[in-house]
Formats: sequence, structure tokens, C-alpha cells
Amino acid sequence: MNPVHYLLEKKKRNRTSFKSYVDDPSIASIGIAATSNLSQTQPQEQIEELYEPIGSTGIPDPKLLPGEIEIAKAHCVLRFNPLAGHAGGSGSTGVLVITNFKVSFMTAGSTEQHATYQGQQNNLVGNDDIALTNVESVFQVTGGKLRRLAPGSSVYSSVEAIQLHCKDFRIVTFSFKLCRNKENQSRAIVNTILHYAFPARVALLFGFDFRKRIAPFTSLPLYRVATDWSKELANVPTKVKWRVASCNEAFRISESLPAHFVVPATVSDDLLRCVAANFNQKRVLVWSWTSAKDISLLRMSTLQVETPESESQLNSILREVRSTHPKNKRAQVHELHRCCPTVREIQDSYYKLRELCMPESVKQFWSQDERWLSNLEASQWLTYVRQCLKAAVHVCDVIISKQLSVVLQEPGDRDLNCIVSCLVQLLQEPRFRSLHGFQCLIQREWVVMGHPFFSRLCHLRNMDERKGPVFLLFLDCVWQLTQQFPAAFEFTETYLTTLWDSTHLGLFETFLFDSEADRQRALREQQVKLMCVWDWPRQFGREDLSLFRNPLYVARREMEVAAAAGGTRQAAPAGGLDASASAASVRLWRQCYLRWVPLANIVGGGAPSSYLQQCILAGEAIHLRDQLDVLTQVAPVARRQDADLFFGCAQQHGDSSPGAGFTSAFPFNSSVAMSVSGMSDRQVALSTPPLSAFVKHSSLANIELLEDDLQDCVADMRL
Amino acid sequence: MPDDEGAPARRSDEPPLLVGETLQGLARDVTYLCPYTGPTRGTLAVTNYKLYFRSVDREPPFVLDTPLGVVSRIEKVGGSTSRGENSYGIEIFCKDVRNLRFAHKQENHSRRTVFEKLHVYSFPLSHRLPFFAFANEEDGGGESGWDVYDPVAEYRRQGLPNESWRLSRINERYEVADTYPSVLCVPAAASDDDLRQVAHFRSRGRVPVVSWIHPESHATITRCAQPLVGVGFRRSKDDERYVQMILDANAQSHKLYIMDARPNVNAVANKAKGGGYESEDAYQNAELVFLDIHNIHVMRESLRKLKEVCFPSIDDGRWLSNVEATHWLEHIRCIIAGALKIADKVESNKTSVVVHCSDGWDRTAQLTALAMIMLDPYYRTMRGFEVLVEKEWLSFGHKFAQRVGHGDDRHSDPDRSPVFLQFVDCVWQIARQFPNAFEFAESFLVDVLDHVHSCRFGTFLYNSEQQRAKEGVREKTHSLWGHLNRRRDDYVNPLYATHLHQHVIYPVCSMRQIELWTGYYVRWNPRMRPQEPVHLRSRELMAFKQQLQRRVEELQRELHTRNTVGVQTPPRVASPVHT
Repeated sequence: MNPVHYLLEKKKRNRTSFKSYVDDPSIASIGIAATSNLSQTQPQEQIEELYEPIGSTGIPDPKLLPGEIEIAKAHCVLRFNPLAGHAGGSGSTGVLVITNFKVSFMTAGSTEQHATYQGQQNNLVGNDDIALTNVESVFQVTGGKLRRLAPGSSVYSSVEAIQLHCKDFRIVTFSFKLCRNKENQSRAIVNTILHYAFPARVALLFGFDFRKRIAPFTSLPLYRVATDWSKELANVPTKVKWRVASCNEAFRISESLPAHFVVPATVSDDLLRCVAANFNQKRVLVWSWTSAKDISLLRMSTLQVETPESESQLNSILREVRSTHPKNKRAQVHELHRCCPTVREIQDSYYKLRELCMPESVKQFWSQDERWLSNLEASQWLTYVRQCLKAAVHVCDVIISKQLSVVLQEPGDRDLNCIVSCLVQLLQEPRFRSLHGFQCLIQREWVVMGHPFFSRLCHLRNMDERKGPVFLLFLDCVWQLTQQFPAAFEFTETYLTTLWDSTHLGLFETFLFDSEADRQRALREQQVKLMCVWDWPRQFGREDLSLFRNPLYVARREMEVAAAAGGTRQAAPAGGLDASASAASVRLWRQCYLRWVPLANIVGGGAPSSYLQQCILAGEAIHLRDQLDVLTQVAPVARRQDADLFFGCAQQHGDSSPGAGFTSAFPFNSSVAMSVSGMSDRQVALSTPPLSAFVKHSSLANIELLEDDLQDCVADMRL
Repeated sequence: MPDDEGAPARRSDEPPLLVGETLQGLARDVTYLCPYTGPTRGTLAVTNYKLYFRSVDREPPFVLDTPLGVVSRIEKVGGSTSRGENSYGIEIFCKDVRNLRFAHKQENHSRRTVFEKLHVYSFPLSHRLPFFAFANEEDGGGESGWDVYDPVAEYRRQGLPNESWRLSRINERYEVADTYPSVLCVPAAASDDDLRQVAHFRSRGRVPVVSWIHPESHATITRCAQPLVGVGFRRSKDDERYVQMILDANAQSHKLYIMDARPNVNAVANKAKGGGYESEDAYQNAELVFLDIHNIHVMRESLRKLKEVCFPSIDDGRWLSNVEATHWLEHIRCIIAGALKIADKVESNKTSVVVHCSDGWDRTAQLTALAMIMLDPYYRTMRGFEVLVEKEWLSFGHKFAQRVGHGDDRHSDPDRSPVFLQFVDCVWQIARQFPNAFEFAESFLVDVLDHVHSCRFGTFLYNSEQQRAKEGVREKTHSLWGHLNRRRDDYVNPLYATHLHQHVIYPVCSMRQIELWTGYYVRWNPRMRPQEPVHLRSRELMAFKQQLQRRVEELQRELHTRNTVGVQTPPRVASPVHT
């Protein structure tokens, strides 16, 4: 298939073929019933009758990306509904296809188009698909028991069912009990997943087979050229104190540092080379940020061995940092490994969090509920979030109140330094709180500075000892800030969750490497074509992208503009945010961690309903402002930039269809949540306001109608 | 509650006073030992309504303004031999999850007067004095608030009486049930004599009466007290027939649920005291469900533990497990889950539900009121919520005086319990899960709770409708609802979207979606206050939108007049948006 075609075509998920049989007394009336405990002795034919017979004609072929090939396929596979437990339950039947990129499950009518917004839809991977790089572990289900299958191993006999546990906390169970050629098909499927989901070498990842010409991405500085760094330095009050060092070109000094970075102007290339030798991974002191008062934040690794000689070299370079301080004061060194978790601890904690957020059955869900809070505390996840926030708040205090430069130090300089340095900059610098600024920040402090994304995300087998979701911990910290300061950030929690999901796709150069050196080698030498994650339109359409934007941030800007135009100067919003790291203000990121658990989500409520209402309010305010412009200005009005909020896009749909109800997992997992939340369809219909209801009742409906008349009036007046 | 309406001119260190409020004592050079910001020196004033501390050593001055109604216990700390700074003074234990501590200088001899005045005006009942509500002469103007609830009008709103239900005045003189309202809604098939018979078989004569009826299915929520079954398994044909009438009044279902709020064992234990529960043998077509909500003593103990966890400071490292150990949220979850079961039976099964606990004025009120909030969007408006509290809590005899301990110095009275607080907490939980569904914001709930303690308004005084009528509360005091309704704009939820939740809302009863109401329990800790509360941001946005809308409408009118008159004036070039 034409790749462009693929990207253009929006595959919309099918809802009508999705049947819930859980606790549904109306099974008989639906006509097609599947029961949870089909006895083994039941003849195959009889079982099949219970399910809707789906001819192969009704099921579409999987959509393939350029370079993607189909490897195994099974018909009449049953996918259980979430929380059905692995012993059985209800679900839907379809075709299961394994390609070298994804596990794809298709039901009849998968390609149905919907007039209204149905939830997030990725152009690269369907809602019912799972990228192989997202698979964390594979379990074989035998007689209601789970057995973990080793990556790269093979099964030799028929498999009843398999369960996939994903890195994004999703659980999917496929049963082969209805397959005609059960033994061969199930074995082929399982072995393919075990083989392709956990390749032994990097070059076997699908990303390296991805064949598509991609226009170079230019809307964001990628910090691969020296000019990007000089532009960054333009914001520093005393630019002359710093310079862009390019002595690491071809990565001669450090394999993990970028080709260019910023150091004090007085540090010569020779000194850098000489001193770098003493640092772990040769990660010498590098500049991160300078405040408006000319106080700087820097980062470095620890010394390889602490000898008098190496320490004196460290001191010599710290002396140069001192010379950048307006009052020539000594910089404080913060050893983050003393106050923040190690990668190993983050990984252990993440596993405990996963366990809590991935119940397999309704029974397990409720048994976890009894000790939910203490188990959550025992996972330590929120403790680690607090530790990182606390470290950042402390560093801010030193820079802002004590007016001292800070050097962040960590053995490798590639994990916690990334988190804390970014948090400090987010807290202190408003421009990093815009979508653009935030992406620049991650590109600069994580991607090119060599955070080992590839190792931490663990896309290969036998890499377990290096994995750890350090980036997720960072995103969680940022989420906490967006909750504490709801109008300060341009991006939403949906953006943060989506960014985390993108790390599991295995298609972006951003997340597929451990360092710039690796990345350059692959991109230049092996001619690999990969996308940049910041090129969001490759993944999402306009509606989905609009959900990245925070209406409160947009509105606050409007208010500032209005205040300025009206001559009333609002007090400029203070630049620095005073974050709280207290246990009572740090909360669980429900959208990211609980979105796949239907029972945990509120039908028709939760944070998304606040968000959508704020979108309406902000949209109306912007609309009114435009009208004011029309009414008050003689000159033709140049429409200001569209706010790109959700309903700006959704309004185009009109309200022809009742639209989907939504849950607190919006825009994720919307239809699944509805079908199994234990309510009858009627209940859901009654208690779920359709998305279009938000728009329909806008208080501006009548004003809208008047608008044309008004334009005429104004035109008349001008005559 | 910063409130200084009608404050007359006063001296700088004297407190602002309400009309009818009088200064009773003033002590200078007193130190308030703030657990968060440290000791601060200033003047402590005691009036017949509040204590008012204003510091002299801070700029801006630190002000503590607390109605004496929240005081649970006052103790002297340190004696004449006390050494060390700030060791001699008074400690005040409050009902709203905090303690206040003041240090006096021994040589000033100010402690004695302060202590005595505090004691008298915190516990007027123990000193045979009237509540401040009777001295309060503030008049905000407008609606008094006493007319918010009219039982007949409220039943009419629900479509009652109808062919199956009638309003009975049998309890007009509170003779059938002295803790019940004067107007009762009962099955049309039941005569007043039937009611008298049934009253003999229900604790305190609290017969099953209708609280809410489904507008379409006519399934009802009926509330009552436990049947007087006793150890001898007594039965009452009248009661059984009466319950059947409730079932028959709903044509949609041939079944009835009796929801007993208590845990099964407690219900059994109550037989020994003459109470008990309906056996399914005696009540054909009824299914009995126990909702496992614990009694007032368990709840009081749970709140005591919660206070220890929340005040004065929290242990960051063990915060979640400490909260869990108080079981407070578990109780909240259980109450919401019970109410959800009731709402679900009424809405989805179209089945009528009878709710009771032991006496039917604590847990029953929690359950019926919450179920009604889920089922009926009217109760999610500000006025509807006020009606709900008047109806399910005040008129049906929740013993506010006893449960809160209004003006009474017996701080360890076992009848005290945070039953109403739990209800409001549950409302907050539901409102948090459905941020568009309620007309009022969190601050409304906090202020209602504060005035449950304050005794500034007559609304929550005494234990029953009968007592309030006897004391002339309506004539002699002001209503809280009038006070709150005058401040309506302060309480509006900017995200309220009437059209979205015209029907039932089903909250999630999992600990994953239930959280501690830090805006109430931890509100005294300045570190816990969000720097940028989201509702303020939303409110700001709403105000901005309204401002623009006014401006646009103004200009439209202007244009319209001009066009019709046909006078051409040069259009305005620019317009200040902010005026």
C-alpha cells in the first residue's frame, strides 16, 4: 500500500462489533452469546456457534508501514475484555496478525469511519494494535494459570491462550480455543512474538527496517549543530562568559556527550580534553542554564578515581565556573545520587507500581483496593517523585535565593542530572513551559546529552540490568507540576502520556539510541531512516494534537493581551514556580497508569470533563474577542492565530451523531471502558454525556447566528 | 470565616464585631504558638461569638478569627512553677481538626479571665446561656433563608402526592414520632390508623416514609428506623402489610430491597436491645441487604486518628499508610458504595428501596441523601443541596446538637460523632469525580461545615424539627442559607455544566478514585495550600469570558440603535476591554 495513503487514512476503531458479556442479563436478547466457562468437552462446532461467525471477507487486511511484513496470522482468535481474568470471560473474535512491527488484532468492520471524535488515534499504530517494542512480557495461559515465556524461547505444543503485558500497562489476552488449526496457528503466533518482540541485536528492530523517505525535521533545534547552542546562549545575560565547545566532534572526547556543548569561556579545548579523562564516561562539566541574575546551572559526572591529582583538576575547572559568577562566588556541587533514587531503585519501584496498576481480574482489582494506599506507598514511586521534586526545589532555592551557581553531579551524569536539571529550568523559566520550549528542553538535556533511552526502555532481550524508566519518572514529576500550576504549562497530561507512549513505538530516532554517537552512526553510516518524535503530525491528526493544548494556558495569554490592550498592566506573572514536594500534594497520575483499568475510571467524569469544559470557556472567550475586534475596528480584521483548542476542531463535525461517551481515561481507551464497567448499555447511555453535548450547549449559540448580521452592520457603518 | 459585615468603628486592637456581638475580654501581650510559622505576640480578644487574635510583631499582622462554636475542650497548660518560655497558657482543642495554643505571661494575670470567658462563651449551654444565634442581629437583607425548604413544595416538585402516595399530617404535633417532620409522605393505601400501628413496630415511631420518587419509573426511596423484632422474633402484620403497600405503589417491579446500613453482626446484636431487622420470611418479595457501615463510635474514633495524622504536621514518609490506618477513607468508600447500590436499584432495576439503620437518623440520612444526589440533578444545585440538608438531615431529626455537641462542655460525650461531616466529605468526593455536575464549589461545602459548628445561625441548632419549633429558631435566629445565598457568586463552580449531567451520576467506589479531602482536613497547614488552585484559574477564565460577553452585547445594542435610528457616527477605533 502506498505509504502516504496509509498515513492519510484514519483507521477508526470498531465499536459495534464489540460485545460485553460480563454480568449482562440481556445476553439472550443480543443474540450472540459467549460464556465464560465453556467446558473443555464441548464440541468445537458448538462453541463456534456461540460466536458470530466471521468470514475472512469481513475482516480487513492489516495496514502495513513501509518495510513492515506480515509474519504470522491466525483466524478466529478471541480477545478477552480487560479484567476478564485469564481463566476466560467474554470478548470479541477477529484475526490476529503478527508483523515485524506489531501485534495486530482486527475485527469485522475495523475500518468503519466515525463522524465524531472517538478517542486518540495514532496514524502509525492502531488502537487495537500493540507495537512489539511495547511488549514487556508474554505469558502462556494453561488451565487458568499463567506461565511466563522466556524472550527468544520457543513453544513446541499447542497454546490455549496467551497474555501480553505491555510497557504502557495494558494487558491483552488472546485465546486460540476457537482456531481451526489451533496447534499450528497458536504455536506460530507465540513463537513469532517471542522472537520478534525481543530481538537479540539492535539492527533487528523494526525501526531499522522502516523504509520511508522522511523530509528533515526543522521546526525545532535538535542541538546537533553549534548554532543551536549559540542561540541558546543568546538568553544568557553575560554571553561572553560562555562559549560553544566543538572539540567533541566525532565524539573524540566522550562517547556520550553531544558534538557541541557549552562551557565557561575561559575553559580551553585543551583543558577540556585533559580534565575530561578523569571523569566517568569522560563527561566533563557542561552548562545547562543561566538565570536572569546571571547565576548558572551546570552538570557533570563524578571522578573516575579520586586522586589528589584528579581532584585538583576538578577544582581547576570549578574555578572557571566561579569566574562566570557575577560576584565571583564558588559554585555549589549537588551530588544527586545522595538524595535521589538510583536507576535500579526506579526500576524496582516501577515494577511494584505496574503490579498495582495492572490487575488481571475484577477479583484482583477489589482485593488490591483494600490496601491500595499502603501498597502505593510501598511501591516508593511517589517517594521518588517527591525526592526529585525536592532536589529541584532545593537547587532553585540556591540559585534564586542564595544566588549561587549549582553544579549537578551524578556518577554517570545521564539520568538524574537530566531529571533535576530539566525540573529546575521548568520551574524557573516560563519559556520552557510552552510546548515548543518543553520539547527543546528534552531534546537538549535528555536526547543529545546522552540519556541512554535505548537501554532504559529495554527493547532487546537480556538487557534487563540496565533498564529503568527514568524518563517516566521525569514525566511524572512534570505532571505533578502541571497539577500544582494548572495554567502555567501549555501542554496537557494527555501530551505527557502520549509522549511516554511514543517511547514504546520503537520508530523514533529520539528514543532508539543511547547517545548522539550511536544515533549519528546509525543515521549516517547505516542509512537508517527514522522519524523524530517531535514531528507530531506524523502520528496524530488535528483533533488529537489539539488535546495537547491547555485551555487555561491559552486563556491566560489572552487575558494578558487584553489587559495590555486595555492599558491596565497586570502584574507580570512571577517567573519562578514554588513547587511543593510534600506527600499530600504529590498524587498518582491516574490517566497514565490507570487508563486501561475500566473499573478505575469514572464514566462521564474525571479530569477530562474539567478539561473539556475549560476548552469551551476558553474557546468562547476567544470567539468573543474576535467579535470585539470586528465590532471595534475600522480596518479589516486580521484573524489572530487560531487557538487550536479541542472544540475549535470538533465543531467542524457538527452534531450529526450522538458521539461517544467518555470516561476519565479520555482520550484513551474510551470504548473499552464503557463496555465492561459493569453497567448496562442503558445506564451508560444515560449517564454519559456525549462529547457533542459540550458544544451543543455553548452559551454562544445565539451569538454565533448573529455574527453575519453584525458583519453586515459593521460594513454598513463603514460606508 | 472572615466576615465583618456591619462592623461598627472600633479601636485598632479590638476585633471587628457582628451586630449583636459584644466584646467580653481582651488580653494583651499574649503569644499564639503557631505550629507552622512559630510564636507570634499580640492581643487576644474573646467575644460572645468568637476568639480573635491579632499579632503586633508581624507585618502584615497575623490574624486568627475563630468562632467559639468549634471549641471542644479548653485546658490550662503549665502552672505557677512552669519554667521556660511559652510554657504557661491555654490550649484549645477544636472540632475542626486543629488545636490552638496560647502562652500567657504569668505576671500579667491574663490567663484566668481569658480562660473563664472562653469557657462561658464556648459552652453557653453548660452555663445556662443562650446560643449566640439568638443574640445575632446581623441583617444581610434579601431572602431570609428560612423559606428555602417547604416540604409540600419539595414533594410537589417530585410529583407527590399522586395516585399511590399521599401527604399525611398525622405527625403535625409530633405525636407519632417526635423526631420526624410534621409532613410525611406515605402510601395512599395506608390510613392514619395503619401508620399508628406501624409506628409501634418501628424504633422511635419512625415509620417508613417516602424521601424521593423516580420521575419516570415511580420507584421510591423510603426511610425508616429498624423494626422492633427483638430476641423473640416479633412480627407485625401491620408493618408487613405496610411494606407491601410501598412495594405495590411501584408498578414497575415485584420486588423490594430493604437496605440495612449496618454490618450484619450489628443488626443481629440490636435484637438484644429490642431492635433487629426484617426477616425475609416475614416480608415476602423483599430482599434484605446489609451495607456494612459502622456505627457512630467507630466513626468518631476514625476521625480522632485522622486528626492525629493531619495535625499539626504530616509525616511525608508514611502519609498514605497513615491515612489508610485511620480507615476514614474506607468508611467514606463504604458509605458511597451503599448509596450507589441504592441509586442503582432505583435507576436500573426500577425497584423501590427501603433504607434504615438502627434509629434512621445517622447512616440512613447519609445514604438516602447521597443516593438522591446521584439520582436527581436538582440536589446538585446550591438551592437543591440546601433543600436536601433541610429535608434529609434537619427535618428527619439528625441530632445535630448531640452529634456536634453544640455549646456543651462534655467533650467526651459518646453521642458525639462526625456523621454529617462524613456526608459532606462524600459529596466532595462525588463532586471531585464529576467536576461539571455540581453548581457549587468546594468552598461552599467548607463553609457549611464551619457553620455547623459556629452557632451563628439557627439552622443546625437542636436535635429535631420539634425542638427547633419549640425554641422559636425560625423567628429568633437567622438562617445559614440566607447568609450563603447572598454570597452565591463566591460559591459558584465555574465548570458547572447543567446540560451535561441531567441524569444519574455513578461515582467510582474504588480507593483509586477516593482521596483525602486535604482542602478540609489539612487546610490549616499553609504548606498544603495549592499555590494556584485550579478552580481560581477556571473562575478567572469564566469572569474574563463574561466580561467579553457583556462588552460584545453592549456594542451590539449600540449598533442596533444606531442602525434603526439611522444616525451615522464614526465607529470607535479602539475599546478598552478592561474597564
